[in-house]
Formats: sequence, C-alpha cells, structure tokens
Amino acid sequence: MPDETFQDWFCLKNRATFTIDPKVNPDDAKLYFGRDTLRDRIKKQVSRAFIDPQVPKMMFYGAYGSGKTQTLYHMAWDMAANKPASCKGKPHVVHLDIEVQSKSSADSWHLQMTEALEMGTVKGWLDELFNASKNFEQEVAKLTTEANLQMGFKQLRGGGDLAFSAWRWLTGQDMSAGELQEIKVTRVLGDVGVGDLVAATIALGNLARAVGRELIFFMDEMEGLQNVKQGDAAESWHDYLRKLSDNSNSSVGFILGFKADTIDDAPRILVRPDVTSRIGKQNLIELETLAAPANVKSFVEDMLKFLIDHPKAEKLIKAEGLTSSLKTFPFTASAFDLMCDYACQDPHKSTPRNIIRTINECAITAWDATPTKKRVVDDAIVNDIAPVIFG
Amino acid sequence: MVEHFLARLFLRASPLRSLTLVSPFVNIMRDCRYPLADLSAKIQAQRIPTYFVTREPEEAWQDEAVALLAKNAWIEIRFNEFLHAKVFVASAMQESESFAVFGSGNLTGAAINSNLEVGMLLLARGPGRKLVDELYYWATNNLRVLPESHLYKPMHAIRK
Repeated sequence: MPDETFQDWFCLKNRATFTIDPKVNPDDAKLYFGRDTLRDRIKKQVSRAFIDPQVPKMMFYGAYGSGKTQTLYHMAWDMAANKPASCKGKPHVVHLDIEVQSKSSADSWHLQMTEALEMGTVKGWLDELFNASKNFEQEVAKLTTEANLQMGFKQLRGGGDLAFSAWRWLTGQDMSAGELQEIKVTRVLGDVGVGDLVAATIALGNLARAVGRELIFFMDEMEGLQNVKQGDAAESWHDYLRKLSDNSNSSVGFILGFKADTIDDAPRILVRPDVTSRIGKQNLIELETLAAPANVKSFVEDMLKFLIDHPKAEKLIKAEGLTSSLKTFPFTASAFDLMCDYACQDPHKSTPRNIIRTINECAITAWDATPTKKRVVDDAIVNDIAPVIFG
Repeated sequence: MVEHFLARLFLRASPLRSLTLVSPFVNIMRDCRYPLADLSAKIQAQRIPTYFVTREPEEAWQDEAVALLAKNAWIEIRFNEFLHAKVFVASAMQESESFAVFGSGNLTGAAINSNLEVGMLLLARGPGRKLVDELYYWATNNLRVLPESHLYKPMHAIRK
C-alpha cells in the first residue's frame, strides 16, 4: 500500500507519530503514563488543598525531561475533567513559563502572571459580577479592602481607555501622575512593596471566586530564578512567593515547576524554610526519573496501550504473522526488553522525554526500512537508536 | 537570517537535544563565516543528533554538500522532492534556550551572501515558545515520516 501513512502502519489512534506534547496537542494533557502512585498522590493532595487552604499550592522539580510540563498540563486537565468534590468553583487555570533576567524582581513576576490571565478575562468576570449584583460597589468592596484596588476594578469594568489604564495599573506597570489621576488611584501598584502586588493578585482570586471560578496559576521554568543575582531583586521574588504561600492567601492557587536534579540544585528563593513550611513539605514533589526497569516497562506499556489501536493491531499481528505481541507492539518482545534495559542504564537519562523519543525514533527507523518495510521494531533497530539517546 | 541561526548555534553554549535542518538546497558555504564543514564538525564534536531534510541533489555542488554531511555519524539525511520549506530548529536541553528560523533562505552561501531573503528568528521564550514547539514538532516528526521523505542516510549509533 504505497499511500499508507506512518499512522496507519503502526495502528496509531488519532496521532501522526508517537510523540506526546501537550503544548502542541492540547489533547495530550490527559495522558499520564506509568506513574499511577504519583498521580493518585497528587490528586489526593489537590483535593485536600481545596478544603484547606482552599487552593492548591505545590511545587514540582526534577531533571530535564522528567515530565514537569506533562505533570503540570495533566494536573490542569484533570482539575477540569474530574473536578474534585472539594473544589467549589470551576477551575480557571493559567499556564505560563516564567522568564527571569538577572535584574528581574517580583514586579516582573506579577506582570507575567496578570498578563497571562489577560485583561479580557478579568473584565469579563467584573461584567458577570456587575450583572449578577444589585450593588456592584458593595460586591467589589468584598473582594478587597484596599481602596485603590476597588477603584482599579471599577475603572476596568467601565471600559474604554480608562479600562486599559486600569489594567496596566493592576499589572503593576509604571504610570505617570496624570494617568494615575485619570483612573483615580493614589499610587503605582507595588510602590509600597511586594505586599501591594500580592494584594492585587489575591483580589483577582477573590473576584474569580465571586463569579464561580477558582484561579490557579501553573508556572513552569522557575529555575530561571537562579539568574537573579541582585539581593533586593531576589528578596522581592521570595517575599512574593512567601506571601502567596501564606495561609492568608486562600484565593489564588499556584503550581510551580522547576528543573533541579536534586533539591539542593533548586533556586534557594523557592525552597527556603519559610516557604516550604507554609505550603507544606508534602507539596514539594520530586519527579523522579524512571530508572528502575519495572518503572520504565510500566511507562512504555501504558503509553503503547493508549496510543495503539489494539483491535487493528491484533488483526495485523495475526494476518502478517508479526513477531510482536499486542502488549509490546510495535516492538518485538526482546526489543521491548532491550529498550527498557537501555533506558535504565543511566538513571539521569531514564526520563519520559528520552523514552518517548526513543520509541518514536525506533518506529521511524522501522518505517524507513524500505523496500521491505518492517512493521515491528526489532533488536537491531533498538541497538541503533537507543545509544544515541541514552548513551 | 540563516546566518543568524548559525551564529546563534555556534556562539551560544547551551547543550542541544537535537538539530533539525530543512532546506531544499544545500552547498558547502565555503566563503561564509560558518561553512558547512564547521557545522558538521560541531555536530560531530558535540554529538548532536541532527535531522537534515533536503531535495535529492541534481548538481555537483549539492552532491558535494550532501556527501560532506553523509560522513557524519550524527546526521540523518532524507530526500523529499516536494520540499519547499526552509526551517531550522535548534532544540536545547533547557527549553527556553531553543530557537528556530523559518523563511525563504536555503542552507547555501548564496542565501547568506547575495540573495534577497526574508526569515524570522524565533526564541523559545514567551509567545515564541509555542511557535518553536510547533516548528520542532513538524520538522522533526511529521515531515520525517511522510512517505515522500525517503531516508538517504541514517544516523549511526555511537556509544559515548
């Protein structure tokens, strides 16, 4: 069949290759292979967090490719698809990769978080609140006791140029005295310290809750905080995180991801005792590499089980007398074991990303073996590919 | 813009996970700041798994370039006769260090020195991240498994 595609050839369900990337294919967020124990633990902790402190506050760390991004996207997907009974509102998740320069301070973090949340979203929530309430001013006063923030919300709901200025103010950007006067606030947000910015973030969380949402930020690549060299800048990031971690914040959830081979490699700003004691040490979770053969096998089996159209593969194995079982297709049983052995040789490299890449590259090599294309991945192919990735 | 991609590739120290070069035409870029031989040497020295997709050579100058790359154990070469896209993706271990270029320029000296070309350099930061991811996904996965993308030379496994 000359027109047969790679997808047909390997009986793949709804995907062109074996690659998994929730950033490119949002549907991939539902996938989480070979880590059932960890997934159950996360689910339980998230469920508990919605009771106390009412929002999840967690951090994930691990080596490159250990699955941080997939974990964050999967958690967000799971919160929406299988909303915990303890979560009263509809989770509103915001994904962002934090960018950090050497002089960045918490102002930059606040700006990135609010811009990722988007002006349109917040304005929409304010409109909902306005339409649902008889006395809007009273409702806004319930969100925050800070008069400037109340004014900022009212101006934002009002629309037009003033709404745009109000949004810029809420994001903590510098503004002239004239602009501040126009939107009737007395100072630039953050001028009196990080607490000002955190108060705005918490007010946004309160607004979300007032209209039936739960605001949760998923922030990846926090290892960039290693770049912050200036003492004051580093302290401002730390203060912002400490205040968000505190029990007084029960409105804005956050899940952080950062690259660290061990906890000793983590940016100190994130793991100081005054932060970890607030979020609870159980919420600082290491994403271990898969290292042990049983873990790798379980990961690959789960993955193949999900990606392969089993009835189709079963027919194919029978019809063509392939030396592969349904459990390991498109690998032969020995190639499957061999690949798992390669993956376990260096614990530092036995990551989900490397394993997925190996499976995909092995399949591409089998697909390439023209003119006598093989439908299965055998030992020779694994011996060709795996050393490039795990060597 | 191809030169910008190469400059970034040569001058930045971030370890790469893979390199994907999609260019219908290629030559050895003899008079350029970063000739093809230097690129190949870098790939070899740093053991960067590299995927190169091009058209089957019809001229001697293309043959010369493909032959040079074919000697490199870390480069896979595919021929696709329908190829018109020019995409270059450097995928770094630290994702925010990844970058890509797409545009009109081939991996040739003329594209760098004399032709009028346009291109866009994308850094995997902020909104650029998703675009780099998409280009990586397309060039490294989807393009390579098209039935029209024939394998000319596989990457040879080499144990470190």
